[in-house]
Amino acid sequence: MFSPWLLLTIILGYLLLLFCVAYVADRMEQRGRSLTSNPYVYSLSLAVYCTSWTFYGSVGRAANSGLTFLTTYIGPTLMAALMWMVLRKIVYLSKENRITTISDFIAARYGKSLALSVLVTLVAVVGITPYLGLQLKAIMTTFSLLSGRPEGSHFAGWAISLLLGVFAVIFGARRLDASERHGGLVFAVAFESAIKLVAFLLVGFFVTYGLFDGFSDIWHKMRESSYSFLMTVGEGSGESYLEWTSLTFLSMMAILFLPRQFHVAVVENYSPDHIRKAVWLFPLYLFLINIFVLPIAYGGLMLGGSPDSADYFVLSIPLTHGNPLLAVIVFIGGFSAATAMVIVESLALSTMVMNSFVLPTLFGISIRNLHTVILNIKRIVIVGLVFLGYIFAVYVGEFYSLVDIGLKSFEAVTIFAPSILIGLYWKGANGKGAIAGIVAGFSVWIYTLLIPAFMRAGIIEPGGPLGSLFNSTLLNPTALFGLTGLDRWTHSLFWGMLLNLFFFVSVSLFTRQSDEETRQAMIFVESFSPRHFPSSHRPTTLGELEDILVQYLGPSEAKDAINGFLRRNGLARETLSGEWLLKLREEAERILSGALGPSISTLVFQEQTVPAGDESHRISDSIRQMSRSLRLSRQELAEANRQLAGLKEFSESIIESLPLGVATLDEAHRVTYWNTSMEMITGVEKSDALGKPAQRLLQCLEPQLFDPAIKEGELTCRRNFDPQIILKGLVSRLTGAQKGYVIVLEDITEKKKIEEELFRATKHASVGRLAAGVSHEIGNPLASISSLVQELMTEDGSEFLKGSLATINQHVNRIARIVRNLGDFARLYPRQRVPTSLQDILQNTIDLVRFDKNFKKIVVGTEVKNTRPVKIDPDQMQQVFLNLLLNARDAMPSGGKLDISIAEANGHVRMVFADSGAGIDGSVRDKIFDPFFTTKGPRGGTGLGLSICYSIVKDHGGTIEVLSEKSKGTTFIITLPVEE
Amino acid sequence: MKKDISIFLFFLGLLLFSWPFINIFHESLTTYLFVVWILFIAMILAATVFGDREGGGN
Repeated sequence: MFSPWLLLTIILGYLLLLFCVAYVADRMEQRGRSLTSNPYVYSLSLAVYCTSWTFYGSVGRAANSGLTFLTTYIGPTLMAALMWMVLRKIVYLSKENRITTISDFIAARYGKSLALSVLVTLVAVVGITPYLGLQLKAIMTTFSLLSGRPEGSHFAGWAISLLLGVFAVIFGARRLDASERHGGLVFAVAFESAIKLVAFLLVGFFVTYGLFDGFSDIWHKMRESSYSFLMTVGEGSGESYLEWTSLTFLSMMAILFLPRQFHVAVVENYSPDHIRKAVWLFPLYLFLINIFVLPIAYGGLMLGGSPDSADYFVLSIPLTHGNPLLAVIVFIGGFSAATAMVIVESLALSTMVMNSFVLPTLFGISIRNLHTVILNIKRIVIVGLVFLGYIFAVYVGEFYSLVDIGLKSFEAVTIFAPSILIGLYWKGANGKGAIAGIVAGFSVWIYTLLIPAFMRAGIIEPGGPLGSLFNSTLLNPTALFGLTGLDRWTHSLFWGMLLNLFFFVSVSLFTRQSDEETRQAMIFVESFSPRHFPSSHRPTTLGELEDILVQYLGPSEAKDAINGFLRRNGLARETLSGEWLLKLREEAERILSGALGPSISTLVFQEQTVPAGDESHRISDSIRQMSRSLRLSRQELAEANRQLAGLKEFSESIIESLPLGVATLDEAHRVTYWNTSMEMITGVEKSDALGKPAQRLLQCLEPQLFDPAIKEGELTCRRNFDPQIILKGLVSRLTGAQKGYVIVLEDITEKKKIEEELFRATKHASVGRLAAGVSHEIGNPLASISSLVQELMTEDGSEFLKGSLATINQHVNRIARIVRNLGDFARLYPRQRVPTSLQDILQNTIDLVRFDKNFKKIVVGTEVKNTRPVKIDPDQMQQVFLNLLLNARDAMPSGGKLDISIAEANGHVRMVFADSGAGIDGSVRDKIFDPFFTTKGPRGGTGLGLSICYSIVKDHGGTIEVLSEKSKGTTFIITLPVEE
Repeated sequence: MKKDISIFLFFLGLLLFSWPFINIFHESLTTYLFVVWILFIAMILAATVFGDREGGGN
């Protein structure tokens, strides 16, 4: 054991060393050779995050709850990945606006709202003071452990608190310009971070390799002990995954929003480049300081230590295992962890209290030497806050573990997260929403964490009226609204975040921002410099500005500030123009903002530069007018955009719905647009067509169609794959700003077919009328001639006469046959249609020609399926069959094969006559149904046979078509409807 | 460090340090957590160096 006086001497000696370190760093800073301005010191200063909670509490947590202590360090490690993005923006905004505390940051974002600043400070002071107490508790407890005399620890705590308060005052409140960096203080904090790391590594090494055989030995023994559950998370460990996640989230928020972290990371930042290195150096520090936490915790348990006293294993193990020197080093390490936190936190909180409570109270009161008064009050506030922590440590701290107190503070600062993080990226967030969110979050914090603590401490009687209320199902603070199954940190975080976010977002959505809030939202979200916004105030004189600064900063600080500005810009006092005066006024406002906070600074300058009554009205009217115009313009622009988008969609929909293929080409004839019909017509997908040369896709696109002299050109294409179709198109030049061509293609296959049918029907009708006339006019006289010739032939006469009469008779018969055919063609006589079997007609017809000598050479094959009778004129249909059989005979003079089939399908009877004859040349195939067209020469036929077939089939509502190729035979296909 | 890499690393870390990974490595969770932790720091360092070479990030 050590004597208390020896320990106090060690503490004093260490503080003296710290003072020297800080002093040297400060002197170097003043000489322009900063020891602090480098990324390594910056990273080490961020390690002020590792307080006595880390040094002592982590081991306690590990010995009681296993691995969950790691969440406190994994959270900041994860956040480090985002630091370059988020922290850099916060640093930039804070420097630009001379923001020195987190309360000023939130207040500045929401229109420099004093109410918000007050609220944030209140939450921070209430939430963080126990955390300050935690550090002092750790110092007092370790002091007792080392001295073995608990009774003296309170006095030691009192003395140490005073020393720490004085230290914070010397290095943090030497002057009033709080935006000035405290190089000495930061260097001292970095030095302390190094000390606590070394101390922890030493004790860790001692336990792991001095008392055990390394990590594996401890791990092995732990697995076999009853404490093995501490090596896991989740089922069986007593710590749920949900708690793991909640604690990680809380730590992520704490690293950004704890006032001391904001101070070292933002206010004391020399360059954004330092953040670049800190994003990996700081997590590395956290990693190193945690390496030996588990071996010490597990080792302590293995050596017979109790989990209840595990918070101080770090100290008790070397003490009880014969290494008092190491115990002293550990004590110094723990003291370093605690003092760094107390000094920086009290400094940060005091600035918040000053800017939010003290200065607004003093504002407007006429006090001589105001700057001295302000400075002294700040010093008192710093010492007061340290002692507030001391009181908490002495009277309340004993009820709670270090981790328990620390996590309550983490929950408290997490209340700021929505207002800051969402406020950095959402311009619509406003001060009313932020106040509502923070009030809701803070209320939940008090209800779910503070009330149970009071109940546990016996401050609230369980049997009393409040106790009964808190024990009810609905309002139980640890199971609010009946929500059970959550640990207390997750429970508080869930309700706090839910209500905080709900009120923050909904109030922001349903209330309006003030003009100042809109301006600040632009600055914070868009990261604009406030200098980009024209000042609404008139410049005052240099003397007036200097007077304002003297009033709040003191004569020497004010003189330094103004001279520094003039020197930096190469200006002289006597020749300062109005423009530079305005810039100086803005600089003065920023400097004052650093000392008094943005809210009071703005008020100070508004007091000095209030425009005259009418002028004020005119300015505010103009601003309102401009805001309204801008709002209207934005609405009109949005409406125009909507209409334009609608119009575009409408036009595209029309082009896509067209039954015409539409494509556009650029000037190099490459496809730029290809609609759906074009895909169907050409069989080319849009994705394949875009960007390709059009002539490769449509081979009928002749180069001359793109002649600049031609505005429009027609084209006809035939598609080369089944079903073959005929396309007709138009190529036009695009007019207007966009150069190129538009192609429109239409499928005219069906139209062409109908046109041909119509032409043929018209021709048949005309010929039919002619044939009827000829048949009637010639038929009657011819009948008389024929009978007279035959009468004369029976008379006696010369041989010549008989021969002549025979020739006449022969020719008359030929004419009579032609006339008869004409009559058939013209169908002079109405016929009766009766249900008839086509099979029978076909058989009769074949029987008629069977004995023809030429037909005997042809092999006739028939395939007749059972078909229903068809309502037809049997004689006419026999005529059709006969004509087709005779045609086949004529096509196969040397013999061949004729296949005839009849089948019924889909309400039609289909008759096919396929011969193996000479076939029909393609050039005449379309004409074979024309009247008087024959390929058999003048003596072969009248050219009416197939015309008659065509007419008869059409008359019966059927179709007849021919498929033929030269030398490959001919096939006639007849279809007739089956009438029910 | 580039903004998109920062965000990617953040979510990757969030995934690696959460369920189900800490459940998957239940048996040797301590080793898993410390190995992933140091690898994650190395990835941040690599992203910073890469970002510097690319022109300072955004």
